Formats: sequence, C-alpha cells, structure tokens
Amino acid sequence: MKYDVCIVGSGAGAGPVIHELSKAGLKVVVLEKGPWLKTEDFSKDEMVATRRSIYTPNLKDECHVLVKQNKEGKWMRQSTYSSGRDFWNGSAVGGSSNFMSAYFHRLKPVDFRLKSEFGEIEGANIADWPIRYEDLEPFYTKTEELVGVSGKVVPHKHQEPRSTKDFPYPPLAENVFSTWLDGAAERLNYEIFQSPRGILSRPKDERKSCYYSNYCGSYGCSSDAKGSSRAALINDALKTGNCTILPNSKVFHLETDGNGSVVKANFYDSEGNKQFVEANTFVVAAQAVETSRLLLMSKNDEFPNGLANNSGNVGKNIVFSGGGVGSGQILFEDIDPEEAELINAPGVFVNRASQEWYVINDDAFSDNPMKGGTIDFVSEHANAVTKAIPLKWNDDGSLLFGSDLKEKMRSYFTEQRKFKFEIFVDWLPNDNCFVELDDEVIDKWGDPVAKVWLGYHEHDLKVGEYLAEKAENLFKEAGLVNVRSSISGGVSPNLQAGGCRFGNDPKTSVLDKNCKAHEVSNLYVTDGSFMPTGGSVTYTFTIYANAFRVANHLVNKLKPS
Amino acid sequence: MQSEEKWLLSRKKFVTSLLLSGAALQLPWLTACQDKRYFPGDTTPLSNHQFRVLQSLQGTLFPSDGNGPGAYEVNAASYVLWVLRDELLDPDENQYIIEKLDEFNAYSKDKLKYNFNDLNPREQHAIVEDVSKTKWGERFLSRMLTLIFEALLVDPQYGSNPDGIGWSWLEHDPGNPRPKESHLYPTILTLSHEV
Repeated sequence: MKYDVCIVGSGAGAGPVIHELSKAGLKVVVLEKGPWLKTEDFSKDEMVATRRSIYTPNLKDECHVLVKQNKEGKWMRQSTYSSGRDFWNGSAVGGSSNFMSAYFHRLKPVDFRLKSEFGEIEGANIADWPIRYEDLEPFYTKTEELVGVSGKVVPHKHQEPRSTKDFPYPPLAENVFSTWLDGAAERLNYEIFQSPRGILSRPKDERKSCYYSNYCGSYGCSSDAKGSSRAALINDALKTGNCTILPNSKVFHLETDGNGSVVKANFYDSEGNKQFVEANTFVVAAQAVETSRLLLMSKNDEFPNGLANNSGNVGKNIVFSGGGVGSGQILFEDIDPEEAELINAPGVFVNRASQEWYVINDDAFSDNPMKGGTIDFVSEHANAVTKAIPLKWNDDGSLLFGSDLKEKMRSYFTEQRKFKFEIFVDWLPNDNCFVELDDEVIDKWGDPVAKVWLGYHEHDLKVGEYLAEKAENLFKEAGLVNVRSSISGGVSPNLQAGGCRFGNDPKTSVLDKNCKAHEVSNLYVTDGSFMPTGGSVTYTFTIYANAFRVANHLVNKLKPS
Repeated sequence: MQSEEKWLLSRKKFVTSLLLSGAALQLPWLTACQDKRYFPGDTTPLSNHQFRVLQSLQGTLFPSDGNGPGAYEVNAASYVLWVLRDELLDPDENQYIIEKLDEFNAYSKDKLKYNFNDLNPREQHAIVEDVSKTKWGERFLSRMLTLIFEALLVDPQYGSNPDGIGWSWLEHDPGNPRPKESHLYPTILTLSHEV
C-alpha cells in the first residue's frame, strides 16, 4: 500500500501532524523506533523509569559518540557506551513527550529575531527566524487546547501577546512553598508567576486530570493528564481509521527517485529484517540529533552528502539549552512542625517561574540590552535512588560510608526538603556544536552512530550566571539555606534542537519557512530541528506549536478534494 | 550558628552519641559473625567465598547499626547476584565488579594477612577506608554503594527492600501505581500490544 504521508517518529514533533492529517482524511503511517507502551503499562517503578534502559535503547545496542573540549582545549571523543552517559530521551510511541516534565512556556517575539534585536555575537551563528511570533501564536493556542495546558496568565513585563485571555485549564495544586516564593518576590520586587504546564488539571475527553503522583518527569503518566503526543493526539488520531502505527520500526534510509522526491522509507522491523513503506509525502520527526543522522545516512547519487544536504547544512548549528541549576534547603527544625508537614507534602507542584530578566536591561551588566532567560522553580525529584547517590560523597569529594553515611541519608530524607531552580538561556548556535556520522562506532544494525560535538559559547555562561544570582537571592529571601547554583556549558540531552534550521536562503538553511526541505519536493521536518535559535524556554511547547503550523500547511496542500 | 553547620551537626548527632555512649563498633549488631548470615544455595557467578567477601564488604559500607536497615536486612548481596546475572547489562561492567571484589580482598590479605570477611569490624572499616582513598577503590566502592542504594530503595518485588523497610526508614513515598509483576524489569521489555 502506498500511503499519503509517512511520518518518522511519534513524539511532540510528529503528534500534531499525525493528528491533523489523519483527521483530514489522509492515510498516514507512523514508523516509530520504540515499542508501543500504553497508559496501563506505566507505573512508578524507579528501576524501570531511570535505573535501566527501558524507555531508551540499551547503550550496548545503540549509543552516541560525544565530542567535548577538555581543559587544555583539545577535543576529545567518547562513546556513551564507554562513558555510561545516556544521550537518549525516550523511544516509544509518543517519544520522549511521554516522560517530559511539561513546563510549557511560549517563546517571546524577540526570540524570532534575535539577530535583529541584539546584533551579532562573535563566534555565534545567530539567525532570525523566517516567521514571526504572530505566525506561531494561533498554534500555541491550539496546543493549549488540544494537548492541554494548565496555568494562569499573569501579566509581566515580558509577557508575550496572546489571542486568548487565559489557559484553558486552571492551575494545578501547589505546595505551600509557592507562597513563600511569592512573598520573597514581593519583598525583592521581583516578578514571578505561575508556570504553565502541559498537564491537565481537569479531565478532557478520555484523559483524566492529574492525580499528583509525585513522579512526573522521567515517568509515563498513569492518568493521561500529561500532554504526551501519545495520550493527547495519537490516541485520538487512531479513531479516524486513517492512522497506522508501526512500532519497533527503525528507519535507516530515505530513498529518492532521482528527481528530488522521497519515495520510500527503509526500516528495520523488530526482527531486524529490512522493510520499507512508500508514500507521497514524508515527515521526519525523530528528535534533532537523530533526524540529522537519518538525513546524513540517506546518501545516494542525487544527495552524496546526505538527503537535503547538498548545501552542507544538515547537522549544523545544533542547540541545547544554556544555563544550569541551583538548589536550597528548608530544614524542618527551623520551622513549625505543621508547616514542615505542608512543605513536605508530596505530589503538589511549586509551579513558579520568573521571566523578569528575559531581556536584561542592566547597565552594570551590559551597555546594551541583552537576551536573558527563564528561571523555573521546582521541587527535587522524588526518585529515591537518585536522591541517595550524591549523599555518598563528602563535601571534600571523598567517599562516605558506614554509619555516618546512613545518618546523612536518614537526615536528608526525613529532616529537610530541597527545592531547585532551573535556568534556561539561549544556547548560542556555533561552529563547534553539530552532528555528523561517526566513522568508527556503529549500532546493532551496523549503521554509523551520531557523533555530536558539544561546543558551547562563553556568552551563555555569562547570562546564566546573571540569572543564577537572581534566583539565589530569591531562595535566600524565602528562607532557604545552603543555597547554591551551578552554571556550565554542560548539555541536557532532552533539550535539543537545530541541525536542520529553517530559513529563506537555501544556501544557509535546510528547510523553508514551512519546514519543507529546500532541496526535496516532498520532505518535511517537524521536530525541533528547524529552530535556528532555541529561545530561553524548554522546547516541547514550541515544537508542538510549530508541528501544528506545518500540519495546517500540509492539510491545505494535501487534503483530498 | 550557620544553618549548614547546624544541618551537618544534626545528621551527625546520632552517630556521635553512639560513639560517646559506648563506641558503635562494639555494639553487638556490628560484631555479629557475618558468615552465619543468610547464604543462598547458588551464588553464581560468584564463588561462595566471593559472596562472603561481598556480604562483609556491604556490611561495612552499610552496616546493621540500629539506624534503619543495613545491607544485610535489605538483601543487598542477593541483589548484586541478580545484577551480575542480568545479561542485558554491560558484561564488562559486571566482570569489573567481580574483578575488583577479588582485588579488594587481595588488598586485605596483603595488608592484614586475612580474607576481608575474616577480619573484625574495626579492621574491616580500616581496610575500606584505605581502599576508598585509591582511585580504583573509590570507583569500585562507589559502585558498591549505588548497588546497595538500589537494593534499599527499589520495589520489593525485585527481591530486596523486603516489605519496603528501606522506604519506611527514610519515610519515602514510592508513588502509585506500583508495577504489576508482568511489568517489572526485565519482563517489561517483552511486552507487546496488538498493532
């Protein structure tokens, strides 16, 4: 059978396309590398969620090669199989959106024209987007409605324009700590607001509302409140009868006809056998690194450097999220027992954020306005083993064991609560952050793995440290102790974008403004790969919104008359 | 007093009071003969002797000292056997554990002439302290501690943390739903749904 549309991947970049095209009556086939886990398959088993490779490939079978600069300035390569550092995020129907924390901030208008607003930065490949915020706004709204975003719009100085007054779902229940932060912010004259979340606070269709399990990020949701691509969009698309999902199907090559069109997606099935599907239009949404890898692997006479890569831009300008994390503690012995009980309440969220410094206007910091970022305030994750592991180290870096270790653990788990802040600033695109095919390491099918260069720009650290100081001030004012932060050029692999940036010039971009490859007549990319700059928020909300935008374009173009 | 100091003092209070009131290392639960403890019929891929060394090492790293369960109470040694038998894990990493366990015991024999499991608790503590200061030893003992933490805190259906004693001690809420037997690792990897 020849399908109307073949979609590679099923996460946030794919879900809107699957949903909209199926609903429009187009025959859609989805090739998902991971298994098809259903809601009833998820539990709060830390072993499955984080201690073993269940939702991600086994590194023995599939790894990455990461290239980082050491202190001496040398670029050193190491496979993740060798280092044990997992660079995967979630291979399953619904992709890593099943396991996200779902902080859903929109980008701001300035994010679409970073170069025009703030100018060039030496060593960074900053480019304006070919669309404006206004072009994406209706699709943020659509995502809020269909995926389900809860929260409360609170006006603040960098609040983005909205076509609706508020989020469709009211805010989730909060920990009393949120009011501590509110008080501290008022005293410091800082603006903070309730964080929007891609989590239902009320039921929607067959999805139940959040039941405050205390285990959200890294875990599949057992009520479908979390707006994963699977729960929010794919399940609905399946009801049309137009959508076919093929799980455990790893696409390794997109074949063209010699005239600039893709005709086949070649994939390995669960038995490792080579299969293919044919379609009229192809959409790739395998997450930024793997999307670039697939295009680079799809070489032929027509595209000797990889599909859509005669310009040499595929894999270039990968971006992650700049910034870092910080934390502080509330010691129960310092507060009333009743208050300690409230602070220690599991499940309910902190849900506070600040974008006061989304653009920094501070003469002491910079002569000109500078792009800043977002601070999200969160509680420490409840994962017990993950919480215990750092406790085996003394402050001087030596190993702690025996009764001293046990007492430290008992005290940490029962006599305090840690809260954290996460700082998101632009990861400036640069020549040292890109994806190519490794020429040594192969995966279990014998294909070259992605080699990811992780170079960062020093500017990111400067901005991150500015925000960290503000966040630390807020925590201290709120009464937390042992407040500290760490800003680095380290990479969070779950925050990846770029590699196939969109733009108007085929010489400098891979995709056009509709996310169609310049060089290929029927190839679209709808994950985060399109982003020339990433903004200063987590990416999932924008990936959803942009995928709805592209889906709208595709429906108009392909819908049967 | 600075808050951080207060917290550090607070968490040391229990151990300090033990030491002052009669020296923790002389308490009966710490001097119990570890060789008399539970011994599984099959210790593969460890020899019986390696298993005894492992038990003793875990007892030193995470002792049964009256402050919550020790490694023994949470079946940490059997948990390590389960890990070592797991063919999905990196075989090199599991071989590393076995090799370093032997190297650790060899250090004990070299330093104090006896297998680690035949030393008294004070000597065992000193050997672990010594080894933890070496590069290889620090990495190995760190790995051992992570395995103990897993045994202490993963779902009891995995055979450790019996009746959730680790969770109870640390007042940890493991969340719901708990995994069905068919959805435990590694069985969950064999799940399939009709397409």
